[in-house]
Amino acid sequence: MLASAAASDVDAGHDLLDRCVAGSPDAWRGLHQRYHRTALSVLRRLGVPPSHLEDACQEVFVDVFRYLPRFRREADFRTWLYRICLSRARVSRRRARLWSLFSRLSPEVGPDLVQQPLDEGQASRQLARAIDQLSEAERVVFVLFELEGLSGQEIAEVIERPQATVFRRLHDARKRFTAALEEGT
Amino acid sequence: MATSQPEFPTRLAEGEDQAAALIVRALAEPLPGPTEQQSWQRLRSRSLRPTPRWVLPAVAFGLSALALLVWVARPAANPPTSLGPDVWAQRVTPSPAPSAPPAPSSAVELPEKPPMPSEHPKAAASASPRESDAGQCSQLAKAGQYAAAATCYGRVAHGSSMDAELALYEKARLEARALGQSAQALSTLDEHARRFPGGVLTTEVELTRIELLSQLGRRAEALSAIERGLQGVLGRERGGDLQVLRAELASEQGDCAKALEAAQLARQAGAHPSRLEASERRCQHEAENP
Repeated sequence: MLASAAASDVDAGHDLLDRCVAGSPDAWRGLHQRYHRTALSVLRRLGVPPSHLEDACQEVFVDVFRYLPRFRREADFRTWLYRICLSRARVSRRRARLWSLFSRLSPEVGPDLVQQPLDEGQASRQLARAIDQLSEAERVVFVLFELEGLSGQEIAEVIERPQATVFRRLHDARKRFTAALEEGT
Repeated sequence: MATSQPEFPTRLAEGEDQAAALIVRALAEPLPGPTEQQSWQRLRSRSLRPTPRWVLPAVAFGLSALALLVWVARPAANPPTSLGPDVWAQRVTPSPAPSAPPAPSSAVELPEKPPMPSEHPKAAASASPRESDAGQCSQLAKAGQYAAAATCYGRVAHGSSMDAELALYEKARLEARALGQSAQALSTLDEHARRFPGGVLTTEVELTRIELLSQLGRRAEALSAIERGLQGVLGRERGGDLQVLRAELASEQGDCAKALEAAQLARQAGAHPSRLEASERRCQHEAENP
């Protein structure tokens, strides 16, 4: 069966990146189309709450557009994109925690930002709760390996650590994830 | 002694336990958040020029001074209202110099002239009603009402604006992937190519069209389209994807020389090896059993 070509399975070619740097709107649009879903998926799986997902995704692409001329292409574009997503996910989660604290302290101000929207599936919510039990380092490796399908080598390039470190974190993450599922978290 | 790399296990999703079932189900569910089209519209309206670092503190200082002046100058009978901005009217905007900047191995410096996607001429025709229409279509799709969503996109797809172009493509994607109407999707893509030649989605439309031809068993047409695509922009931007399709089709037709050549080219273009397993296995089997 012919598999649908996932937009980012093949990394963005140098030609497309060159056209982006040259300022071609079509190229920017093409880049955004190819990687929007990837960024959205990674950010959500890394624990960015749905209420902050749109902003976080926007920030990722603002960073891409802003820093692409300086991207030296020693790594794949996708690797670089994942690094930006990891960074933005950290910032967004921190911001979401502050908002959550604020809304609890001032309940009359507005709706609870930590509410899960109704348009996210049950399995996704359950998965998010289980992944939330992992440490930051374990979560990154778990999401990139189990959900995004990166290899150990690719993850090592993204987080700039040896493969042995990735392997150990994945092992720990799996144990904690499985335990969280059994506890029904 | 060389350090050997660890052997990573198979992914949880490939198992048969509770974790595997959960992951498979979760990955099949649609993601929350905006559609790509909505996200792009919003991105286009933002300024990408980095704000100088001194501006925010200066603005904060100026506002504080002004607030103090207002407080001091007001008569006692008219106490000032709240000095702070309404929290819920304030959008969460990113700081131009992020506190946790991305840490790629490349040097990260603000470019002297950051690129700004200029307005697409067709986008000038897009108006907020169109955007909200497309938003309704997206909501229908998220709710699993795919037929209604396709009809909705068909309504939005009138005219020559970029919104119309995007809506028509979304309609085709729903027809192909959610409704299983490959023939209808192909017809929609043909309409797209007629109405929007050289549009922003030309490469995507061409690639999806080739996939559909293959799914409909029209292998010869698909292969011809692939050969044509490899000569043009599609080949430059998505050459690896085309070679993967070429390998698949050629192996199904029994042309293993072409299939293996295409697989080799696909690997060189960076295609993930898992996408070539089926075609390579097929040809390996034929090589062992002529």
